[in-house]
Amino acid sequence: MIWLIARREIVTRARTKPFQILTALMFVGVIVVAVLISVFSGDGDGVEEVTIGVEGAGVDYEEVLAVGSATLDAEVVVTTGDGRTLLDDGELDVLFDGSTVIWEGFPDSTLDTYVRSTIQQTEFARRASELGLSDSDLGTLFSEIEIGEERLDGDDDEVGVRIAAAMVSTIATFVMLQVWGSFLMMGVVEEKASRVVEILLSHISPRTLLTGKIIGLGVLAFIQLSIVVLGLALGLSLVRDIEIPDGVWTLVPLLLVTFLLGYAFYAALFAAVGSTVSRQEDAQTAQLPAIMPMMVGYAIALGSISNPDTLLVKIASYVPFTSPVVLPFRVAMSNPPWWQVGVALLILAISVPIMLHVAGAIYRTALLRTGTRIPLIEAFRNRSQAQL
Amino acid sequence: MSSSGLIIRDLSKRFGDIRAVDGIDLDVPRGGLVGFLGSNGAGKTTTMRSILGIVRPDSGSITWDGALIDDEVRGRVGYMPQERGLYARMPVVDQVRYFGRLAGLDKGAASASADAWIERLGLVERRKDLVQELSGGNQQRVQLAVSLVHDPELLILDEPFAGLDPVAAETMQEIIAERAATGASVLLSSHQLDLVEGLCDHVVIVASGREVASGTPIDLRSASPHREMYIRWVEPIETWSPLAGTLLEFDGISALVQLPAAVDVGAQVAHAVSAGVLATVSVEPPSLANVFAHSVVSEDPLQSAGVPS
Repeated sequence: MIWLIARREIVTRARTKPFQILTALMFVGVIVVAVLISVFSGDGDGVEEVTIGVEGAGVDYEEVLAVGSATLDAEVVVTTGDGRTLLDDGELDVLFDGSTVIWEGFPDSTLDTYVRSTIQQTEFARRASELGLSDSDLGTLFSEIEIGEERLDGDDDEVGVRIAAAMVSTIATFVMLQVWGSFLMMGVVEEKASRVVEILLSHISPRTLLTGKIIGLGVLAFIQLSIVVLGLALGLSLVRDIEIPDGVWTLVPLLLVTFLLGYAFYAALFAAVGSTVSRQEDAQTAQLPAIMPMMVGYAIALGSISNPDTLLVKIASYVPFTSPVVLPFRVAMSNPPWWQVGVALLILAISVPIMLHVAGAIYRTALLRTGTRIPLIEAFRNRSQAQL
Repeated sequence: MSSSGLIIRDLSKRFGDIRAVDGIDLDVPRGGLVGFLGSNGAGKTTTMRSILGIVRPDSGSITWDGALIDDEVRGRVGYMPQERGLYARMPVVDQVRYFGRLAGLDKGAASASADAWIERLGLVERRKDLVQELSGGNQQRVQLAVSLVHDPELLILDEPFAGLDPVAAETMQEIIAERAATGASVLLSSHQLDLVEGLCDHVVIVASGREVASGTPIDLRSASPHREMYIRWVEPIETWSPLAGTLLEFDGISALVQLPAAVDVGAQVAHAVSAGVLATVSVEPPSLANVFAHSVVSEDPLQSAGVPS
């Protein structure tokens, strides 16, 4: 019976425009995001073509400057007094007159570094040969000195990747929980508003009905999530050099677990809220009690990006109303000890059956009461009057 | 009384301070067709919901074939609620199949039965349409198909004729009678008492959660302390007054008279003949509608004087 109900939820919801549009948008969205990230993270295979002007007597840097680098394809023009004019006209990107690097406006950092270091190295080589040093001496002198790095606040690489991962996790979890919670609620309200629930309840118990609906939409949400992950993988494979730090990939299984637990927790709450209204028009205002705690978690997470180690974030990562959103954020930002993650997940897992129980009582009590909206507390208090 | 079929004893249910059902007894034998009458709020829907397990009664017993009704039995009950309910955005055939499966049919049986009922109810051309695209009358047909798809042994129909045009109401009556003839027990409520009178073999009238009268339609009508005499003359006559009883209507050529039940009918007719040649005469117990209106007002049809409408 549960599977029968779940299957109807999957089939009917999958046929709706909002689901199809949302899934398509998310699929395309992650691909676009992956491509954009690689474009903006720069170094790809973009080679800059520059024209360097060299001016002044005794200046013989044109050969060394024309060598170029991995990112610069340099062309050197030897000017005779008209260098500044050419620079001003945009014929040159930069002009070197033997002692000064001259720009038309703001210096380009890559080109500036290239010009200066090339000239310095040439000068070093010239001075070295004056001092009678051989090429191998020079090699020894300029061989790379390796200096390690250690950070007391962690052993990890870029903060930027952590922030990006934390934001993506938090926003994705928040949006998914809200969207699927709303879908579930709309289904509950639809059944109540159309009175079809009365026939349903003549065949099955409210518990079976609620369980079937939660499972059905949960399966569909998971399918949607898989499609999105597939899109992300596809997007990342389209762009070549983007490095995802290992720590970020461990977030994926955690996200799946927190989403599933968070979904079960919030779906029950949304169902209870939905059962208290009799018309679709009332649903928007009624869902506030379900959305509020989620919003609080969202605000705590995004508001703590610059300072993720506060007590507030720690508490919010344990409280089941906020932990589905805050825990992935905390893990991405500050890598808490694994046992803390375990405890937070355990609390959430234990809260799911409790929420199902409380929400189920409200659902059973309110489902056949039509008319004005029934306060949640009242519905729970009157649960002894529930049918079945 | 045999123990087969549906037997309800002393059923009570309160909602807060309101006694929705207050000690109702009800029998629907196998193959029986029982009409359940009462004003709005008399307790009919609550009683029906109790049978279906949607409402948990405070006290009383509901048995089917001698055993307390349970979920297993409820799988063999067909229900048509007063507030019609269907999934608006689900195709007709999917909907009927779905409810067949919910009632416990396997996939093949649900499909076959859904197709059969869709054909029987003249919905073949609409079978792929969404319910919300159908007319009100056709939605009612789907509703009926949903309540019949699993070939229920007990049919609970709350206001099955509400909103039906006369042709659809005729079809509905035929199907209900046919179900009863094949052995199903039917409990139906309706405000269309002429239909109930023609269809049901037993009627229970409730008011304020209590039974106020029950019996066959004929018995209930005969139990009335009144008879209604209708006379029509061939030629118009100027004035006329009856020998006994009250003249309810007179229009110069026909008259309607309320008579006491125990009157000498022959003398009344002779009196009418003396006024002119008769075209038509009939003396009958009041209609079920009259009995009902009367019962609900007085809560005791046997003791108070009737006021026919």
